Amino acid sequence: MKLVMTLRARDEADVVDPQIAFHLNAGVDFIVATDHRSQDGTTEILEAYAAQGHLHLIREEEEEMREGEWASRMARIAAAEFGADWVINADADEFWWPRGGSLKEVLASVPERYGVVRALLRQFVPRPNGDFFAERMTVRVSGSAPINDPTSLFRPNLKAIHRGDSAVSLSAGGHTLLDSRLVPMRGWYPVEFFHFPLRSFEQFDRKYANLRAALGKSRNAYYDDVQRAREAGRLGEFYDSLTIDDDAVEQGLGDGSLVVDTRLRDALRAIRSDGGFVLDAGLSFPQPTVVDEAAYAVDVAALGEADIIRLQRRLDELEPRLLALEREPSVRALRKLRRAARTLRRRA
Amino acid sequence: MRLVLTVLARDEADVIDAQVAFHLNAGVDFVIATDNNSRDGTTEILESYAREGCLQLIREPSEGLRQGEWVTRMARLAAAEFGADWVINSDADEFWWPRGGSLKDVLAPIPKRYGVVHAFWRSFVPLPDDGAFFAERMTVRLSQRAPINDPTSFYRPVTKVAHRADPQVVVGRGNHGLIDSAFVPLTTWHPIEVLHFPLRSRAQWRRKVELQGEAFTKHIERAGTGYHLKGYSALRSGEIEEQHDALAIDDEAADRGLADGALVLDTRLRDVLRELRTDSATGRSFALPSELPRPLTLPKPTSTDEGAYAGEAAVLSEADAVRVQRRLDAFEQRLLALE
Repeated sequence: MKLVMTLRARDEADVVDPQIAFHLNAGVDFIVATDHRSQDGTTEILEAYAAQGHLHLIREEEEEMREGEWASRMARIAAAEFGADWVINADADEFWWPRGGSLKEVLASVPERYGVVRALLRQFVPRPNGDFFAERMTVRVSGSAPINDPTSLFRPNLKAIHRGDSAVSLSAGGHTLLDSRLVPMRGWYPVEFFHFPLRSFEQFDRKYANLRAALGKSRNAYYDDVQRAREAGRLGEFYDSLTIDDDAVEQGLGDGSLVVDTRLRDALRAIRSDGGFVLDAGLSFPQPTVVDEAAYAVDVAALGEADIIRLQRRLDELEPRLLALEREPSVRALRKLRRAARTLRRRA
Repeated sequence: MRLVLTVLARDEADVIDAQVAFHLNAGVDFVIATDNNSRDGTTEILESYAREGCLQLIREPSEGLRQGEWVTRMARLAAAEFGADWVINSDADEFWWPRGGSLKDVLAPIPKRYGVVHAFWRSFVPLPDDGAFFAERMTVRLSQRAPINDPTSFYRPVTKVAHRADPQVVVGRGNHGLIDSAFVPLTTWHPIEVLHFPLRSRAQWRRKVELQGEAFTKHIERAGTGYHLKGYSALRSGEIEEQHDALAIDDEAADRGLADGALVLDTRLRDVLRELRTDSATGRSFALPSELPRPLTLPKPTSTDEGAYAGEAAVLSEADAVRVQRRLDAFEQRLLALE
């Protein structure tokens, strides 16, 4: 089985090297990357991986960010040119964590009839500035106490991993496939993706300056809050308000809204060597026990994906489609013919 | 009311004696057993119960684990020849635990219009194997607060059926339901728990995986379900020991699970089997009802127990919602193909 990861990056030099090294150790065979006008050294890191034959690099020089289009292009290339059986669509600040074995093993156990597996988002909270992000950022939002505030960056979410398809189309965030015949696996999320969106003030400042240039003014409630803070000259304060200091960590652990999660830190320590990363350490991921699975099931249930209201809404969508088919002239003609045949048989 | 239990066994000597004795004491009047080529002493244990007149033994020499067919044959026999009013379709590693009194006590008041009862499957987790009798060791049970929907896990929330006797009945594979039956299922109340001990020792796990894997690869048209395949591929790549160990719960995980409520201590079966233990020269290790000074009565749950139980059983409907969703996905694909 061949597993390809696609990756979009813009000025992510503090995270992109471990990101690629981690996934190559976790079961990814090859990477297709889009570098969007990076100026901080990201380009050189991507080029180094390309020179070693691990990565195919696409450069986008236009200011406007066309997220869905680029992700779709990379996913198609992954299937058409690099023979991907499965494709993971990642950003530079995401680490995709298989629950047992490796990414390949987990995907190999997906029953044939399913073409899409969703990964569960794990949001790591920003911690005071200091050394390497993975050493500091070992606290994440608890899945069983989800934040549903629409202006929060930390809402529960899913992203799609899909079987290789040279005609695939992805939504802007890579969360869903558009008009696809690939069937999603429901209720089971065998991969988690660890998200480190805010790692330092400097990175935060640049990220939203870039986004503003690339996307324009409005995007979502959280993004609007950031831009308003920038206009008011209060960006530093805004970042500080997002940062979780030691007291806040203690409080969050106490009330169950935060949990300590050192899995990525430990994995990156295991593949670190002389300031760089080794690519052939072959990380192995512990098989979760039934105790872990039971706790994870509670996090998954908090997504509310399987609630009756959603099922009814889906039925409401399917019904008119069936009705439209039934009303088609060919179907109606067939029905008439059948009726006539029955009548004839009865007379004969 | 007459209650008959059917059981299909192949090489289950470590559990079958306790299984048959438990049910005869818990309200089952008669047992119909199918022995499928056992070689580990299971046959002799079943024969000893047959000699007592409380068990009809069917020998099934063919390979292929045609479970649905063999269970159906037993369930029909129960109705046609043994005068059953209710039939429980059990596996050798299942103990059907009535929530109150005896199995008869909980089945008798089921309203006439319902013909099928869904029993709540309760899996006990594998703990380190020190060679002791399984029920003495395995006293920790999974308590899911939310459904595990992993298709390759054997901890998915499921139910098993007991049904009113019917000489034409067809039992589906796995005893999860009846096929084309006119009986109305009682779906919202689960008066019976099935205490389930699927993984008891290294040797037993290896044998089980081997038998099921061979049946699926050589004899069954349909592909195996997730956990069978996972086990069988581990067996073929020489990693069955590792797979067993990965499934087992060590002390650290057990403590963590007990602390956060994912696991609970459940000694009900252990305690009852201790009560039933005898040292007779019959080849049986457990007493028949006639050999006890007074009939066994299982404790009735308190209303607190019932509340906790309802909470746990809620995962069954949550898991059903996921199954409905998956069926809707398949339905949508068919619609898309027509459009």
